[in-house]
Amino acid sequence: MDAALTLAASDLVQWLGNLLTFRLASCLALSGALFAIGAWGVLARRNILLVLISVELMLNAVMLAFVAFARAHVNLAKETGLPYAGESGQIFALTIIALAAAEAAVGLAIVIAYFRNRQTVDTRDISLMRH
Amino acid sequence: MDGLQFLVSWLPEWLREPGRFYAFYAETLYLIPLLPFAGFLINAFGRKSISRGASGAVATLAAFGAFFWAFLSFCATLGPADTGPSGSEVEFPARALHAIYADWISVGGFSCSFGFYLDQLSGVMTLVITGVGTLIHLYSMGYMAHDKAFARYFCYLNLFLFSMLLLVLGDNLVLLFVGWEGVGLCSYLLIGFWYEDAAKAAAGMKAFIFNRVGDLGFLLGIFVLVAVFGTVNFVSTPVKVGTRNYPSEPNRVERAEADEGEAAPGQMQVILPDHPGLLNYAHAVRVLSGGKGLSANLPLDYDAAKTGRGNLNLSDKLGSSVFPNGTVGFALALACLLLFVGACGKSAQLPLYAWLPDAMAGPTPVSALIHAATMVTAGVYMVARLSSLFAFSETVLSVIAIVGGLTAIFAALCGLTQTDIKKVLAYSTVSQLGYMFLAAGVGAFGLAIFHVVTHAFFKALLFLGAGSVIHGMSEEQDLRKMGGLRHKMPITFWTMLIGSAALAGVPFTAGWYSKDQILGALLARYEHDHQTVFLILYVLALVGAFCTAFYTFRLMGLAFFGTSRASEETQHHIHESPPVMTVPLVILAIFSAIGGVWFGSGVNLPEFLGLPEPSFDLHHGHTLNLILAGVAAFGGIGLALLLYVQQGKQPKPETEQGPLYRLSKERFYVERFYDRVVCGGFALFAEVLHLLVDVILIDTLLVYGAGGLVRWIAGLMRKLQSGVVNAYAAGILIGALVVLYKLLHG
Amino acid sequence: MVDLLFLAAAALCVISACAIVTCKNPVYSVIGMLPFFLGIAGLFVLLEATFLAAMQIMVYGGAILVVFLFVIMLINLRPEEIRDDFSFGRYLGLAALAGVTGGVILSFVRAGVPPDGELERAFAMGIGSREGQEAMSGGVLFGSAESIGLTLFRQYVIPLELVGVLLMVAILGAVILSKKKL
Repeated sequence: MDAALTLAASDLVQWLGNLLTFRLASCLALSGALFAIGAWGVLARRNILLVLISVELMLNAVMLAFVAFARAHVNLAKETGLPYAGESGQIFALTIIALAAAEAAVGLAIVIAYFRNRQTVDTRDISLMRH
Repeated sequence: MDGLQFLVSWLPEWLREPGRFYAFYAETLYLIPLLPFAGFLINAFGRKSISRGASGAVATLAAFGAFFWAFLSFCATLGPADTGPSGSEVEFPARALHAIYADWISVGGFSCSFGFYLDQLSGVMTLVITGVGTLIHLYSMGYMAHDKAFARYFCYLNLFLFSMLLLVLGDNLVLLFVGWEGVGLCSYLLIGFWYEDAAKAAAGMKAFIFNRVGDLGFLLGIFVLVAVFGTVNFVSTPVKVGTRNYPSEPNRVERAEADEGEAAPGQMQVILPDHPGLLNYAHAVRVLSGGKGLSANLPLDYDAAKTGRGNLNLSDKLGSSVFPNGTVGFALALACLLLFVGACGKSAQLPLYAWLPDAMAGPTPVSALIHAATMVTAGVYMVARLSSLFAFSETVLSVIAIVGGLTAIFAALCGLTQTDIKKVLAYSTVSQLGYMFLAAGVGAFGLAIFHVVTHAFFKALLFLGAGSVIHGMSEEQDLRKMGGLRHKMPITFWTMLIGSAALAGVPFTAGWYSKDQILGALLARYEHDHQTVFLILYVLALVGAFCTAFYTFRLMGLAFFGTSRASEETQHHIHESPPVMTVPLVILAIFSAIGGVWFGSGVNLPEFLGLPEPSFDLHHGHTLNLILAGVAAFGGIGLALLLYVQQGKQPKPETEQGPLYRLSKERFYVERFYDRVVCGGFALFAEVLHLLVDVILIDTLLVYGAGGLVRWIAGLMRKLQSGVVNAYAAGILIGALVVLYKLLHG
Repeated sequence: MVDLLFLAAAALCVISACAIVTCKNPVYSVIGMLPFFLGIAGLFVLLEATFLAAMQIMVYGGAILVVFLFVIMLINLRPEEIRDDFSFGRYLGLAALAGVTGGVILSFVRAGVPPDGELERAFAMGIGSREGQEAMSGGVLFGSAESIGLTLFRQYVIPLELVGVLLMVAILGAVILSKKKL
C-alpha cells in the first residue's frame, strides 16, 4: 500500500517535472490552462466586449495546441517512419487566425449595433431570449 | 401419349426436341395467370373508355386464353417421364413443369422464390378454374348486361381468376398464400358488389372476417412448417438446362452398392436434391419407411426413418432448432392441423361455414364461380397438395374426416328447408365440400380432387341455372313464389335437371362417379381397420346423400313444376334466357352428364395426380355401397317428387311448421349462437377493453398524463432560461466537458 | 536554454491572460492582450512556426487588438457605468469550473501521450534535427513562409478559398451591421 502510494507520488513528481521542460505535454498543459482561463473569462465577465476577448484567448490556446502537435508530428514521423503530414497543424492554426479575425469583425459590429440601440453592453441587459 | 405426339408434330422445328418442348411450356407458364391479370388491368384502367361489350369480351377472352394455354401446358405434363441426370431411377417428382422466375424473399437461411409449378394436380385444378371460369364469364355477359357497373364486375372477376391461378400454380406455400388472400379479397369485393345495399356489404365483410380466422391458422401452419423444414417450397428447384428452366430436381432412389454413410450395401437410400422442398422430404420418409401406405403409422421422427432403412441424413438437411428431432412428428401434425384450420375457413367447414350462405348476396355467376366451383375448393386443393405431409398423421386425417362428415350432414339438413333458391344451393355446396374433406380424411385424396372437379361442373351448372331462373323471374329468389317454369324456360329446366341428377347421385352422371366412390371409400376404410368412427361417418354420409337428393329435387319441384305462384306482372315477364347464358348451361350440362366417365373408368387417380395412395382397397365392399347409395339417392328423389311434384306441396309459413322444420330452417341456431355468444362476447370484451385501455390507460394516463408531465417538466425547465448569455455559455461548456470526458475515459 | 525560454513565455501568457480576465476596466484588459499575443508568438517561434508567429503578431497584435481598442473607445463607457461586479464567490465558483476544464484537458494530455517508450521520447521537443526536418519537407525549412505557402496552395487550396469566402462574408456582415439604419 505504502509502496504503491510512494510510486504514485514519485510518478506525479516526475510528471510535474516533465511539465517544466519544453516538450509536447507541457505545451498541451499550457494550452489547457490558457483555454481554462479564457473560459473563465467567458463565464465570469458581464461586459460583452470582455467576453469576446476571452473567446480570443480560448482560440489562441487551441492554436497553441495545434502548433505544438505540428512540431511533435515531425519527430514522431521520423522516429516511427509513419507518413509525414507536413505542416497541417500550422495550417489549421492559420485558419483559426482567419476565423478569429472574422469573428472579431462580426462580433464587434453586433456589439456596436446593439450599443447604438440600447446604450448598454452588459449581458444581463441582453436578455430577450428569456421570453 | 398419342394426343401429345400429335400436338408436338404441329410445333415449329426448334421446339420439337422434348427437352426444349418441356422447357418452353415451363417458361411460359406465367402466361396462364398473366392473361387474366392483363384483362383485369384493361378493365380497371380502361373501364371509363371502353364499351360494355368490349369490356366483357376482353375479360372472357382473357379467361379463355388462360384456359387454352393451360390446356397446352397440361398436355405437356402428360409426356413421358423424364430420366434423371445420371440415369438413375427418378421417383419424385415424375412429370411436372416447373419454372422459377425470380428470387422473391431471401432472408438469412430462408429463401422463397417466385415460380410456378404445374403437375397433374395443379393442372386439373387450373383446367377447371379456367374452363368453368370462361363459361361463367360468357354467362355473365348476359346476366350482368343491365348492370351499371359492368366493367367493374369483369375487372373483379379477372382479378379473381388471376389470384386463383396464383394459388393453384404457386410453387411454394407463400405464393399459395398470396393467391389465397387474393381470392379472399375478390370474394369480399364480389359479395359486396352491390354495396349500396347495406346487408350485402355486411355479407362481404362477414365472409372476409370468417376467412381471416382461418387464414390466421394457415399462416401459423406455414410458420411451423418453416420452423421444421426451413423451406416453403413444394419441390426442389428446377434443373437448369442452358438458360431455360426445366422440371424440378428429383429425389433419386438407389440401392446402396458399397457401405455408404449409414446405408449398408443393398439398402434403399434416397438422395435428396440440393434444395429439397416439403414434398421431397415427405417422399423420402415414405420410401425409407418401406413405402407403406396410410394405415402404417409412419415413423414420425426422422431418426427412425434414417436408421430404419437407409441413408437419409435429414437432421443435416433440416435447419430446425425450434423442434428437436423427436418432436418433429408432433410439429408436423400441428402444422397440418393449423393448415386445415385455414382450409376450414376458405372451404366453409364447421365451425367456419357461416359465411358461405350469406355470400349468396353477390351476383349469381359469382356464386357459381367463386362460391361453388373454384375458391371454396382451394382448401381441398391445399390439403391435396400437401397430402403427403397430411398422410403422416392419422390423428389429423381423422379430424379432417370428422369435420368433413359433420359438415356434410349438417349442411344437408339445413338445406332441406331453405326457401331461397340460392341458399339451398349454398348449403348444398357446404355439404359437398364436407364430402371432399371426408374423402381426404380417409386418405383418398384423389377422390377428393375428383369430387372437386365433378362438383365444379354440376354446381356451377346449378348456380347458373338458378341465375337464369332469377333473371327470368325479375330478380325473384324465393322458391315459394316460383313454380311451373319448365314450359317457359325449357333449356334452363333440362340442363338443371341434369345438374340435379348429378348432385343427387343418379348413376352414370358425374356426381355419381365421385360421390359413390367417396362413400365406398368410407365403407372400405371401415372394413379395413374396423374403426367405429368410420362406420358412423359412413352412415352420416349416407343420410347426407339422401338429404342431398331430397333437397335438390325439392328445389326442382318447387321451381319448375306445379303452377306459377308469381304475381301477374312477373309472370308476364318470364322468358328463357338469351343464348349467351344458355350455351354455358348446355356445355356444363354435358360435362355434368359424362364428365365422370373418364375418371370413373379405372384410371388410378392417386397415381395420376401424384398423391399418396390409400393403403386399403377402395373397391372393397363396393356392391353393398352401390346398393345403399342408390337407395339413398333414389329414395330422396322419390320422396321429393312425391311431395312437391305429385302432391304439389308448398312450404307453409314458418309459424305453422313443426319444431324439426324450424330447427333446420334456422340452421340449428348455430348462427344465432355465433351472434349472441361469439359476437356478443367479443363486443363485451371490446367494451371492457374500451373502458380499461382506451378511456383509463390511453386517454387519461397516457394522453393527458403525457401532456401533464410535459407541462410539469417545462415549468421546472423554464427556470433555467435565465436569459443571461454567460449562463448559456456555462451550459455549453459543461456539456462539452461531459462529452470530452466520456470520449477520453468512457 | 529552450526550457527557460519556454517557461518565460508560458509565464507571460498565463499572467497576462489572468490580467485580461480580472481587470475591471476594459481598456486595461485590451492592453493586457498585447503581452499575451507576444507570449504566444514567442511560443510559436520556439515551436519552429516562424511564419505563424509573424502572422500572430500582425493579425492579432496589429489588427484585432486595435479593433477592440477602437470599439472600446467608441463606446466610451464612464467608470460608473461599468457595473461589472467582481463578486469574489461567483468568481471563485467560475474559476473552479474553468479549473475543471483545464483538468479535463490535462487528463487528455495524460491519456493522449503514452508515458513510456519511443513515443514519449518522440514527443519531447528537442529531438528533431534541422537536417531531418528539411529532408522531410523536401528541402524547404519547416514552418517557413515558403513551406507553409507550398502546403497551403498545394494541399489546402479549397479550404483556403473557403476561408477567403468566410472573410468576405464577415466583412460584408460587419459593414451591414454597422450601418446607422439596419
